[in-house]
Amino acid sequence: MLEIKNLTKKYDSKVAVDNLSLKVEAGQICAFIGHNGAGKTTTLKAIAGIIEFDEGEILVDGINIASSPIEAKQKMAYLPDNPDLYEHLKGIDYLNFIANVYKVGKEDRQKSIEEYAKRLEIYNNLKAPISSYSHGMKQKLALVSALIHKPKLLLLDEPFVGLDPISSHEFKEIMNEFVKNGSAIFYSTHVLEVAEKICTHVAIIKQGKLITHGEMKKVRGLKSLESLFLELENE
Amino acid sequence: MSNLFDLTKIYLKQIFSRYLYGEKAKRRGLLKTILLLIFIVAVIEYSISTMIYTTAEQLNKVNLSQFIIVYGLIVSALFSIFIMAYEMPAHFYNAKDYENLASLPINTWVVVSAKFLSGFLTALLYSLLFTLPTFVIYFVFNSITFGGVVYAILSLIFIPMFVMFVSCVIGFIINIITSKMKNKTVVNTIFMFLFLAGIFALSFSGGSGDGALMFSNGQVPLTIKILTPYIYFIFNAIYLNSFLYFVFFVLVNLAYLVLAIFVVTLTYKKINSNMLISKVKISKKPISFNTESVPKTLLKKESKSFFGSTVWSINALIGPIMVVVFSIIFGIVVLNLKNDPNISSADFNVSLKMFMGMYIAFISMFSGLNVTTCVSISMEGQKIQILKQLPISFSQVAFSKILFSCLIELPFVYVANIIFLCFIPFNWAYALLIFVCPIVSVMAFSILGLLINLKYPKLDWNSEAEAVKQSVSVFVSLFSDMFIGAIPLAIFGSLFVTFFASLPVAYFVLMLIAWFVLWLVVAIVLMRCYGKKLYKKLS
Repeated sequence: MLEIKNLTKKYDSKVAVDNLSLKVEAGQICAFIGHNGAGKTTTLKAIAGIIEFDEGEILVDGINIASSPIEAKQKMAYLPDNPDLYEHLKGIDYLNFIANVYKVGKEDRQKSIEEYAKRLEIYNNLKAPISSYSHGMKQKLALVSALIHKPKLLLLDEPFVGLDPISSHEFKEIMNEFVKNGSAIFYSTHVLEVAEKICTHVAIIKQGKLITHGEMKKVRGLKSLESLFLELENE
Repeated sequence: MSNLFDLTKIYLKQIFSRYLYGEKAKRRGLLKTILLLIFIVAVIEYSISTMIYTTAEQLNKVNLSQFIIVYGLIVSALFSIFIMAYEMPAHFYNAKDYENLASLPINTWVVVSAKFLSGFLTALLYSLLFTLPTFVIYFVFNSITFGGVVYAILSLIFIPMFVMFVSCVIGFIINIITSKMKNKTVVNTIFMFLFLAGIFALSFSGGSGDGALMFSNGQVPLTIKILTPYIYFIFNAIYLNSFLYFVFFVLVNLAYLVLAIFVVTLTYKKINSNMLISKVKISKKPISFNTESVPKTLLKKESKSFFGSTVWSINALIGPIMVVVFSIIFGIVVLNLKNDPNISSADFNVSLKMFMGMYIAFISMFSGLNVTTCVSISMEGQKIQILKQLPISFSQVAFSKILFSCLIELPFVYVANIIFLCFIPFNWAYALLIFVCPIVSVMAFSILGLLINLKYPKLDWNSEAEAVKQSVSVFVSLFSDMFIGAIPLAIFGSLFVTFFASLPVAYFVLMLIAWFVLWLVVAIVLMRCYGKKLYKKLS
């Protein structure tokens, strides 16, 4: 579903992502972890087509993001770590805007919005302007907008930040349902306990380089993910 | 005091670093950036200096050349207030850093003073555009004294204080009334428009009128002495070489500074808190899940962002509203000429032709000023990532922004045309062509505006005023549009007697249309060559 080959991204002389290669297949939830400034967000943004990269190739469901960005973006959804939404729109207007762009039909969008917005307990706030939302509510709205068109690949940057425990639990359920239907999820997080529980795979990045990647059980062995991460960081 | 110093440094660095030291500036090159800024300023200063010099000559003919200081400072104040009145409130109220600063152990007056000082820099730059040529031209026509020169130079720093004071007070009054309202943005925008209309009417009735008439009794008008005593004091300080008047001038300006900071500090937290606790109007209609096409949905998003921002909407709508005002002025001038018994029918026909040609050239130029596209990328801010990660092409995004700009500008131009046509004898060809011409000019200016904003975007702003007012793209767009629009106007004016007077005016309008079609083609070619690449680089 997602294939990254030799991705390199530089900001002037600083190499933010250095020759990164990994695959995330359909049905996998892959946690992308690393210290602050390791290159997680840069990688996610490169996959999402928001920033250009200097070397390498990114394929989303076999489609090259650089040469066919529109087709590739149709297959995925990206959720940034701090969603900056259109404050002047109402919640439902924003969701309809996203649904219109992805050409989701009326019935499908109604079904998706009602289902996910109710599960994440944001449905009753959809008629209010986004400017009146708290951070957590914006996060939930952004989550719903990412799910409307049933993407094949979900890219999430710290998705659980700002969510209350009920919504966190519901979102984990939603993630599991998504991958059971053949989608893949690639998400960055600092909450390693949650990653251990729900993720099938893990990729650890350090100073722009991928230091380990694979099935969660195989990568961490008998250690906790936190211990493994600290060990790798100290090497 | 160290907090004040640190905070002011942060705000000033924000303003300068983007243009001189940011990533884009590095790519552009420091020298190119400075040269570009110098070029823009030189063009502006030339136009303003010409206007002030013309008035100075009039005053000199009647031995009143000393009053050029008063005239220049009045125009400077009106112009600066016009710009700063809606920029300054945006620095203080609803800024992104309010909560962060409010949580820190910093006194409110320190925050307000730091924001005031960063806004002061903008006011100073606008003010210098007028005050520098005013003082230079004053010394051309009057004797140069050491004291006069020193007072003139020192006064440059104090002159914007009055403008800042008025802007702060207006902003405070409007925001204290509207901050608790549900439709605060709409009401805020209406209030601002009314205020700006008042300033415009004032400038037209007094400030830009006949300079010689204003000072015909050989004294500074009483209104000026009462409303703007600082102008009276600095005039006397320079003209009479008086230290005492200079001291009064400084004291009055310091009083403006203290009062402005005091007024804003009193209600800074209250107004910002009110804005955070916004009263939300929830519609009773059921949620709608209607589908729309991508172009329509992008257009709707653009319009909601535009009308949701007081600063953006005022900045963009000033031009079109002035187009309507100018059509009325042109019409009245034509009517007065028609009713003037001293003008023969033949002379009237020639003058009418001139006014008809000038009208359409002027309106075409003015319709391009501050098109919405010249800040529409900047106004996306970090939300540009939403557009970039969605499966929509750059051309779809660009089309929605350009179309929106045209839909905003053209109705005003058409209303202006209808008004003007009511004042003149009907001419089928002219009437048809003046409705065609703005379509081409507005489209050309809209595309160019978008391209310029793609080239000079400002995405990381703390307040909307930064994106709209402290923006290279606005300046470059404004002056390139004026340049493109002024050329046919200048050609028409200079060749009217020798060439255009003997031709039907519709011929000139056809030439004008051809001129703008050429620029439309240039704009489209440039957009196709560079637009997508520039959009891809945005992050």
